[in-house]
Amino acid sequence: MPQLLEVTEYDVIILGTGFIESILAGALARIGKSVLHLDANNFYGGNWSSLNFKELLEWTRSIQGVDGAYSTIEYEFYPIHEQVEDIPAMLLKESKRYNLDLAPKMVPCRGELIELLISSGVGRYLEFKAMDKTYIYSADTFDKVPCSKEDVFTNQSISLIEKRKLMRFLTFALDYTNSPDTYKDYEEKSFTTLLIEKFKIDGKLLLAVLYTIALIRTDANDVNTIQGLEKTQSYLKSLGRYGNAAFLVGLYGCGNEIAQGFCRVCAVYGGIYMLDHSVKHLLIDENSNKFTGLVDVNDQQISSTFLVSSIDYLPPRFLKEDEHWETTSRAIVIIDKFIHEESGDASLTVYPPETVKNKYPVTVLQFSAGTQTCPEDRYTVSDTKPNPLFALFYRHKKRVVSSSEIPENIIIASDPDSSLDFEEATIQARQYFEKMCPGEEFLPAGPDPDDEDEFIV
Amino acid sequence: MAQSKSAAYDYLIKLLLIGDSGVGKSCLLLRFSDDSFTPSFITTIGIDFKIRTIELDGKRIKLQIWDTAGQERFRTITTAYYRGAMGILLVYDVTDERSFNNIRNWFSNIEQHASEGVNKILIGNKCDWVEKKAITKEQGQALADEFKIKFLETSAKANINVEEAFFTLARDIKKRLIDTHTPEQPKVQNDSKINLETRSRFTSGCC
Repeated sequence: MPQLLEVTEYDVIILGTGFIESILAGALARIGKSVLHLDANNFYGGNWSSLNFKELLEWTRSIQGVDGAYSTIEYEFYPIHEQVEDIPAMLLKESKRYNLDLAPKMVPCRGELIELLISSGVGRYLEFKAMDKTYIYSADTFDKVPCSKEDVFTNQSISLIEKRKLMRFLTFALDYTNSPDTYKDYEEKSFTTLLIEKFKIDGKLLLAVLYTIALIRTDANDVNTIQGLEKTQSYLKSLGRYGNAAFLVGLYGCGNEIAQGFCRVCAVYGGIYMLDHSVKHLLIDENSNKFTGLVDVNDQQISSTFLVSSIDYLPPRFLKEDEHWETTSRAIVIIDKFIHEESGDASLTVYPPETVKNKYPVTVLQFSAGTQTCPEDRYTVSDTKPNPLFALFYRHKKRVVSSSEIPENIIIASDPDSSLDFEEATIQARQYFEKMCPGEEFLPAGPDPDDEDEFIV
Repeated sequence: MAQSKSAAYDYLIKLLLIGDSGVGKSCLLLRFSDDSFTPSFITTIGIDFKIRTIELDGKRIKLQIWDTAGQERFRTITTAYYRGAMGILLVYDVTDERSFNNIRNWFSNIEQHASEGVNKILIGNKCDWVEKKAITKEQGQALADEFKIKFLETSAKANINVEEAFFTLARDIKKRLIDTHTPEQPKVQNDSKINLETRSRFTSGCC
């Protein structure tokens, strides 16, 4: 028997429990808006979710042939591994201990998201680990990349002369706006040109700066000096706050745990949650082109002033042609040992363009059991090196909507982008909130239960 | 009754309340943490978690007790809710048979999402409401025996057994996580975990 809603009128209905939708859910309920938050999946997180192994296999089946954010989905088990005969059975048995991110990302130690997690109090629901090791691949070898000053001094893979060049550049980049003379002749040129001509950085060191410090994800020639310096600076500013790491990764997976934290804020302030709950169709008034409500799977008509929706729930006519979509090729690989010695709980490895027949940099995030994303002796990565047990390959599209068609009271939450962080998504959530509720405070902290504590014997 | 400001404690224990809507989870929580009872309390709004520091065998144990925030209603409790929980109070309403029958579902939910070995206690709440009672004490005890967990009937309204429920669970957790680690062999701390909060906290203790 379906459970029907007693209340069928809300300030906001939210479709999808992805990252952006969930931040908005928390922010809207926090200021007193009535929120109904639905997801057609039986799990939280939508396209930002983390799944256990069994859920991941079910998910690949559920998206096969569906015209959505994913394409070219293939997975393979590797039965050649000598110690274990039945790899699928083994992985399914330990399924619960996997938390595999569909769109793996990290949290910069300084930036939009981390400040929001701290100021809203959502951070207290979460635990993190430092992503404190970075490697770069070139000429058949992996080199550990020095990130901080201490790293530069102790790193043995670069010469003393290169250390000096790197230090000179890093010191300048951290505070570049105060030395405009250094870069003003290069403003119109590429970031690479600045590094080569002004700082005499080349070879492996150049690749390291471009792809592991500035974390350029496209063709470096398209990145101008200011963009490169901004990226480098934000990386450098992130160091030192939580030890020698620029990024944190969430325990139990990143995007989904953070999104669920914001959903909890929404629920604490009265938001109503239903998962495994699909929508039959949206109600849009033809004359005014305004969203008025929707009809859900139980044929209940529910109305609201605003709709916040993931693209998954929108009619296809709202979307632009898929040639406008940004596509990221992703892979989830389970391996039986670290790619590198001493990679710790979480590490980042970058393959610069043209090193493995790749046009764009390939980034590998490696997690071990310390991040609660997999059992001991299992590591999840997006590249194969040691013995792979399982690999899933898929293409993840960031769909684009056509703004002229869409009723103004429908707010559309983007798909995950190809970046390695949540910064753009966090900014988008804040901007949508400001558009919907001008003048209202964005996720003020609630009362801290710790302040009420008294010691009673 | 000794009172002091919160900061100092030896161990932090995270507890969860689980069970159907309307069984009195929030009322149990408020009775235990604030010694208050609000009969008009209909659904849970605005309660995130509550804190009460108790003393067990000379140790100050800070109990951080989390409420479901209403997400039990349509069975949408987040997987994140279960993270790091050391003890769970499984609550039903002795006047509501359905809430008792649903304990099995909640139990399998816990098995699925909470960490292995988490301490549990079965609670039959509203035991003061004798004339409406639908589930006998024996039925409650039998279910608890089946799950191999402890059982208490409580009343948040009449303040019956509420202290006992939380103290019993806390004592079992202390036994499992703290007493088994002698000072010579302190439990290995996973100290590389990072919490964002910058407030200084005294956390000498476990997990």
